[in-house]
Amino acid sequence: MKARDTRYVCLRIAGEGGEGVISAGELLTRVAARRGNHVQTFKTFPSEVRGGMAVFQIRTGPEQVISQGDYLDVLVAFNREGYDRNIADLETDGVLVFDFEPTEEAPVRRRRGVDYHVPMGELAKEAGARFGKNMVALGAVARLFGFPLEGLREGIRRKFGKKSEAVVTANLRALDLGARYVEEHLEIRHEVRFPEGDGNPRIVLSGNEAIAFGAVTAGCRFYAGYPITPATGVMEWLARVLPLLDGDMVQAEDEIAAICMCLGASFAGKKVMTATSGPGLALMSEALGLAAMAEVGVVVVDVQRAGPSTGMPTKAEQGDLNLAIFGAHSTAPRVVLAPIDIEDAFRQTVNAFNIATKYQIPVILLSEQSLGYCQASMPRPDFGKIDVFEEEYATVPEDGGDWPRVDEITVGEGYPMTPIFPRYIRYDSGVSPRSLPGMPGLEYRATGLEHDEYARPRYDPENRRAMTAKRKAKYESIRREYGGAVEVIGYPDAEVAVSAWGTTASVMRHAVLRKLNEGARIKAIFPKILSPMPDAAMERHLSGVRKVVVCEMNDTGQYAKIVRHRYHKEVQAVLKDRGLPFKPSEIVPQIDAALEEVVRI
Amino acid sequence: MSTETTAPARAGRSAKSLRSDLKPVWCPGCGDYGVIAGLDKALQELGYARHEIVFVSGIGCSSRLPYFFDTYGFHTIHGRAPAVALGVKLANPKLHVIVVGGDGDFFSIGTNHMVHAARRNLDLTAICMDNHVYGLTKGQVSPTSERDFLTGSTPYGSVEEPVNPLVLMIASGATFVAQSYAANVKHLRETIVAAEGHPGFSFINVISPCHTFNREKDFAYYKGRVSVTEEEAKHDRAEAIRVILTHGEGELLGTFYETRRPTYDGSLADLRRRARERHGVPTLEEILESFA
Ligand SMILES: Cc1ncc(C[n+]2csc(CCOP(=O)(O)OP(=O)(O)O)c2C)c(N)n1
Ligand code: SF4
Ligand SMILES: [Mg+2]
Repeated sequence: MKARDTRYVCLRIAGEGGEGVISAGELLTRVAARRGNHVQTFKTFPSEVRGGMAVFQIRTGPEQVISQGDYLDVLVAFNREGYDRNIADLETDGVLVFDFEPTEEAPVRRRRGVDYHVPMGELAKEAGARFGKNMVALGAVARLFGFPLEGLREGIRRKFGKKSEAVVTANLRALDLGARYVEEHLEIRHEVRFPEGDGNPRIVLSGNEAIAFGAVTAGCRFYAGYPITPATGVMEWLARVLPLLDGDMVQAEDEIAAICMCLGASFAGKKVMTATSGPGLALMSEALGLAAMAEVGVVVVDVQRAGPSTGMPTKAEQGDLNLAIFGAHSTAPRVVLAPIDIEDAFRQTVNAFNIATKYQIPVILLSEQSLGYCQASMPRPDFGKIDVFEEEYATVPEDGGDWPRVDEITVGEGYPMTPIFPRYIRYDSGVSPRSLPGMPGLEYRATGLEHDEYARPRYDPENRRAMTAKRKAKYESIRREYGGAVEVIGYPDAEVAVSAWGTTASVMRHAVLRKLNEGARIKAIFPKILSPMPDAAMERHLSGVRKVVVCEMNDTGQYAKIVRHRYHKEVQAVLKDRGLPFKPSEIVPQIDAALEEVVRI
Repeated sequence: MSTETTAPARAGRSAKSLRSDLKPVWCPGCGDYGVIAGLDKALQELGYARHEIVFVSGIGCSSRLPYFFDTYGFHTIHGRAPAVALGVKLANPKLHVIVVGGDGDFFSIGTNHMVHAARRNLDLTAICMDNHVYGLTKGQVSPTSERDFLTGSTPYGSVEEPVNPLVLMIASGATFVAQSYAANVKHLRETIVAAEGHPGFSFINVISPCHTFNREKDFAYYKGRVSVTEEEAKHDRAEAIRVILTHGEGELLGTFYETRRPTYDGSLADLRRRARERHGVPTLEEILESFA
C-alpha cells in the first residue's frame, strides 16, 4: 500500500532537548496555519529521567489533516542520535537534512532519497545566536521546501519581540544564514514542496487549549484541578485566562477536592470544569455519583494516558472508556463525550457544558494524550454561531399562586405535603428547574441521599423507583437532542463498516478515505457521544452491516465490546496497546481482510 | 393534597426560627440537638436571611443537620464538605457558608480538606460535632477517641493516639479557633456569633455527646468537667496551643486563637482585579488571537 498523497508533507525535527526543536516546530506550524494551511503536529519531550531526544513533527496539506500519516517526507536531524532514532520512519525516497559528521563506523546509509548536510550549529555560532541552531534549520528548511522566509521572519519578531531587539536580530540572522547556506552550497535534488496555503488564516492550538478555550466560550467561570500529565495544560491555560474573565482557578489539594469544589460552585450557579487523567478520574468516582444524585452539572475532562496505575504517563491510550461509562456505584447517569480531533475538542467542550447545564448532570469528556499535546489548525470559530445554553431558574409563584404540583408518590405517611419549593419535581424530561443559594423563597437542601421531590430524605420503595426513573429519564432527553452525534462516511449500504471513537476515529477516517478512493464499498461510523449511546442512529447505520472493524488503543477492546454486545454485530477488534496512536497503514490491511472475508461468506 | 399556602409553612415554631419542619432522626438525648439550638439562636441574633445561608455537610449523624434548617444546604459525601463549601463560597462570596460535620468526617476522611481550607483561610465557619466516636456507622473508634476506647472495631481497646482538632486547626492556619459544648447553648450561640463575625476560616469544636455509642462520655460525664477559659483569645499560635495543651483535667471551652490575615475569597478577588488591571478584560475574539 503505497498510495502516497504528495499534496501532504510530513516533516520531523529531532534533536537534543534544549536545542529548540519544539519552539522551531511551533513557529513553523503557526506560520503555516497563518498562510491558510491545515496543519497537525506531534511532539515528544525528552524524558525527565534520561534527558535526550526532543521530537517535533508537523504534517501539513491542502485539506483538513486528520492523521500523522505513515512515513516522514522530511527528517531534520540536529545530531547523530536524532538520525539513528528516526531514520526508520523516513520514506525510502524522503529527504534528510542533518548536522553531524558521518563516520566510517557510523555512516549515513540510505539506498534512495536525498541527503543534505547543513552545519546548523556552526552557522548559529556565526550568527551570534547561542541557541540559534533551530532557526538555522528553519531557514534551510524554508529554502529547501519552498516556504516563504518572510512569514518566518514575522513569526520570529512576534515570538521574540517581547524579549529584546538583540534576540530578534540574532535569530533573524540565524534564519538567513540557514537559507543562504542552501542557496550557496546545496544543489536541490528533491521534489518535496510545502503546499501553498488557501489564504484563510487558521488558528493553531493543542487539544488541551481547545478544551480550555471551549470551556470559557461556553461560559465556564470556575475551574478546580490537581496537576497531572497530560491534563495540566488545561489548568495552566485557565489559570491565566479565568481571572481576566472574573472567574476563578483553584489548584485543589487532590482530585476529590477538585471535583467537590466544582460541585459546590455549580450548586451556587457557576459553570464549572475540572480536568484530570485516569488516576484522577478514578478518585472522582464517588463525587460523580453525588453529582448525579444531587443533580449538579459538572464537566470532567479526562485526558487519558497509558495506565493502569501510573502506567506510562506520557504515552497514549484509550483505556478509560469503561471507567467513564460504567465506573459508578448504582444508577448514576453521566454523559460521556469523546472528541475526535482538535476542532471537535473545542466544539464538544461547548456541548459538554450545554448538556451539564441543561440536564444538571455530570459530563465526562474523554480526551487523550495524543490530542492534549498535539497542536493542530482549525478554522476560526464564529462565536455568533455557537449555541451556549443559559439556564432558566425556578421562581416563586406570583401573587400567592400554587407551586407546581408534585406527584402523588411524594405524599407518603409521615411526609406531609408541605407547600415548599419542589426542587426535584418530576417532569418527563427528567430535569427540574432549580434555584441558587441567595434566591429568596426557594431554599432547599441538595443531597446525595435518596430524596423526594421536595429534596427530603426518603427511603420508601415507591419513591425510590420514581426518583431513579426521573434521573434516568435525562438519558432519553439527551438521546433526543444528541442522538445524531454520529459521524458517518462512505456507502450507506456497505456490508463492511469500520468504527472507532476518539482520536483513533480521525486516523481511521484517513484510512477509510484512502480505501473509498480505491473504490472499496465500506462505511465508517464514529459516535461522538458514548453515554448514553446514540442507539437509534447506531442501529440504523449498522443495519445491513455484516462485519465491523473496530480499532481501539487498549488491550481489551472496551468499545469493541459495546458494539458486539449492544448491537449484536460481528466485530473484528484491532487493538493496539503500545502507548502509541494508530497509523493509517495499520488499519488499511484490516479493512482489506474484513472485505475479503465478507465476500467469501 | 393541599398546595394552597404559598409561603413555606413554618407553623409550630417561633416566627424567627430558621428551623425546617423535618424532625431530626437523631437518638433522643443526642448532643447534636444542642448544636441545632445554638445555631438557630445565633443565626437569629445575626439576622441572616434564610436564603443567604448555606449549610454544607459530609456524612454522619451530625452531617444530617442541614435538613433541619429551612435555608439552603448541601448534604454531600463523607469528608468532602470543606471542598464543596469552597466552591459555594467562591461562586457567591455574599453567602454565609457554614460547614458542619462529625469528628470522623472532619478529621479522618476529610482531614486533607480541613487542613487546606484552614490554610487558605476561606471565609466560612466550620462546626465539628465531636462525640469521639463514629455515630452513624454505629460505634467505631474515631480519630478523636481516646486510647484504650472499646468499640466494635476496637474490641481490645484502641491503640491509637487521638488528634487534637483545635491544635491541628491552629497549626493548619485557621484564624479563629474555639471549643464549645452542646449543653451550653448560650456559650455555643455566642461562639458561633463571634465566629461568623470573624473574617476568615473559623473552626469551632463542639463537644456533642453520643450516649448511644460513647456511653461513658454522656452529658453526666461532662457535667462538672467542662469549664470556660478565663483567658482572652491569643493572637499567637504557639501561645494558643500552649493554653490548649497545658490545660489539665477536663474540657476547656472558649476562643483560643484569633488572628487576621487576608481571606482566600478576598485574595482571589484582589488577584482578579490586579490581573484585569494589568491585562485588561479580553473578548473571546481577543483570546482567539493568541492562537493565531
Ligand atoms: C466513602 C465513605 N466511607 C464510609 C462511609 C460510612 N460512614 C458514614 S458516616 C461515617 C463516620 C461517622 O462518624 P462522624 O463523622 O464522627 O459522625 P457522627 O455520626 O459521629 O456524627 C462513616 C465511616 C461513607 N458514608 N462514605
Ligand atoms: S448515634 Fe450518637 S451521634 Fe448518632 S444520633 Fe444517636 S446519639 Fe447522636
Ligand atoms: Mg462522631
